[in-house]
Amino acid sequence: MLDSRILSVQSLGKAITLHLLGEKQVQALDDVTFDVSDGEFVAVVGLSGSGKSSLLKCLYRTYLATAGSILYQASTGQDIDLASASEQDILKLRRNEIRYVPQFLKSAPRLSALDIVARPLVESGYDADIAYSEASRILSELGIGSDLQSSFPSLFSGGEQQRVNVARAVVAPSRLMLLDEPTSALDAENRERVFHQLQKVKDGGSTIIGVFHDRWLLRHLADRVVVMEHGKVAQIGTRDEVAIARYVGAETVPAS
Amino acid sequence: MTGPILSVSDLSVIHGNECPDCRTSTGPEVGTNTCASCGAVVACTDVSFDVYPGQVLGIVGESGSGKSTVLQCIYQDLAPTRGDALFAEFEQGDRSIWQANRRQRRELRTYSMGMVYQNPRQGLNLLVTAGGNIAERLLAADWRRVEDIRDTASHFLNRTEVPINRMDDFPAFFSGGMQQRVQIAKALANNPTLMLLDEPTTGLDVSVQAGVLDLLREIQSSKGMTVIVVSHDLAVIRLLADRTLVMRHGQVVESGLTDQILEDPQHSYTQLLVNSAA
Repeated sequence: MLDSRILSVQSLGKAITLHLLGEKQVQALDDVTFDVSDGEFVAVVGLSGSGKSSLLKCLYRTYLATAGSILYQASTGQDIDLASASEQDILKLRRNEIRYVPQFLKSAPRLSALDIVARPLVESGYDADIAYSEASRILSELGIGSDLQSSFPSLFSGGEQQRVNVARAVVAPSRLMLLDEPTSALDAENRERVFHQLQKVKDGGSTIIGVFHDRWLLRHLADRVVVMEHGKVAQIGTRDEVAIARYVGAETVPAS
Repeated sequence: MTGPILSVSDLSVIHGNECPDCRTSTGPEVGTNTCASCGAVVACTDVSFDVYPGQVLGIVGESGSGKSTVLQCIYQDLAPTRGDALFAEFEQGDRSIWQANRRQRRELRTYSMGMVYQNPRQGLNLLVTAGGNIAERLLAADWRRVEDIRDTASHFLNRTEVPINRMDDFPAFFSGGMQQRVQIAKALANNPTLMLLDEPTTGLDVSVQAGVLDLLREIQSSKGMTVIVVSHDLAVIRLLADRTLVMRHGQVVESGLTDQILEDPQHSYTQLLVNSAA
C-alpha cells in the first residue's frame, strides 16, 4: 500500500479570513489526513458546507492551505508538496498530470461543444482530424448528438453542459483527476453514461478523487469513501464500511 | 525547468522631485499615489515579478494603480526612476534592458516585443493603410521585398480576421473592434517573443470583446507566446492569465495563480475586487 501511494494529505487545514466582514475567520478544513493509492477511486461525501470542495481546491492549489501538507508523488518519482510547491511547478503539474473538473462547464465564449472537447487533445499535440473525431465519438457516447456538437454550449441545458464538461475531462485523462460533483444535474440514464466514461478512465490507470452525492455511482465506482463533517474527516473506509446514508441522497431507482 | 524570460526587480516610477518620504507616504495602506511631503506622483514602487516562457501574466488593478506604467517601462515608452529588467533576448539577461542604448532599445521593440495599446491610435497610424501599418513594422525590421511584405501583411490580417479587401483602406474608417484587430496583426507581424497587451478589449462592445479575446487566446496557445496582459477586467484576466499580480496605488498587493487570486484572494483589496465583479 505504501509503495503505490500517490497522494498523502497530512493535517491539512484551511482558514479563510474575510477582511471585508471584520476579519471574520472561517475554518473550511481542519486537520484532514488521508492517503490515496495509485489508481484508486476515492469519493468524498458530506453535507453541503462540510468542506468537500475546499478539500479538492486545496489539492489543486486554487485554495492556499493554511496548515499541513499534501505530498504528491509525481510521475517522475519526485515527492512534491502541493501546498507549498512553486507556482511554476504547480502549472507544470496541471499541464501534465493533475486536472480539476469543476461542477459546471466554464469555457471561452464562441467555442462549439466539439471545439471545447477537442482542445485538450490538440494542445497535447494530436492531429486536428484525430482530435475532432475522438471528441465527436466521446460526445456521442455521452448522448450529445452531432446536431448539438457544433453549437455553443451556452445554449444547452444544464445536464447537456455538464456532459460536455465530463467529455472534456475524459477525452485526455490525466494521472490524477479531481472531480467536483460532475453528475449533479444528470438524470439516471445520463448518469449511467457518465459512469461508463469514468469507469474507462479508472481502467486506464488514472487516480480519481471526486465529490459525489450520488449513491449509485459511489456503490459502483468508489474504492474508498471519505466522509467530511464540519471541515474534518468524520469517517474513512471502503464503501461497505462507511455509513453514508445520511450524506448521500436516497438511491434514485425508478419505482416499479 | 527553464528560467524566467523576463525578470523585473524593484521597478519604481516617480514623476516629480523624489524625496525620502515618497516610499512611505504612498501605497495601498496610505491610499494615495501622491507623496504628502514633496507632492511627487508615485506611479509605482518596488514592483518585482518574473515571467516564464510561454506563460501569460496578468496585471489587474483599478485605474491609477500603476499597471500600465509597468507595461510602458518594459516596452520602453517610459524610463523608470529605478529598477532592473533582465530579458532573455537582451545580452543573455546579463544587463537590464533599461541600460540599453537607443539603438538597442529600438531593436528590442522591433524584433523581440510587440505592444497592443488600449487606444488603437497609439499603436497605429490611422492615416496609413492597414497593410501599410504592418509594412512599417516589417520595414523597420529590414524587410525589403515588397511581395514578402504584402504576403505577410495579408497573412496576419487574415489571421486576425480583418477582411483582406480592406487591407488598402485607412484604419481611421474602421470600427473600434477592427482597428484593434489591425493593431494586433501589426504587433504580431514580427513574431515577437514577448507580447504586451494594455487593456486590449476595454472600450469594445461585449460581442467584439469575446472575439478579440478568443483570438488572443488562440494565437497565444498555438505560438506558445509569452504575454503580459494588463486589465481592470477580471473576466479578461480569468480567460487569459496563468498567473496574476494585483496592484493598488503603485504597489503589488498580491500575486498568485489566477484561479487562486480569484477564488481565494488573500489581501483585503483583492477580496473587495473579486466581490465587486458581477
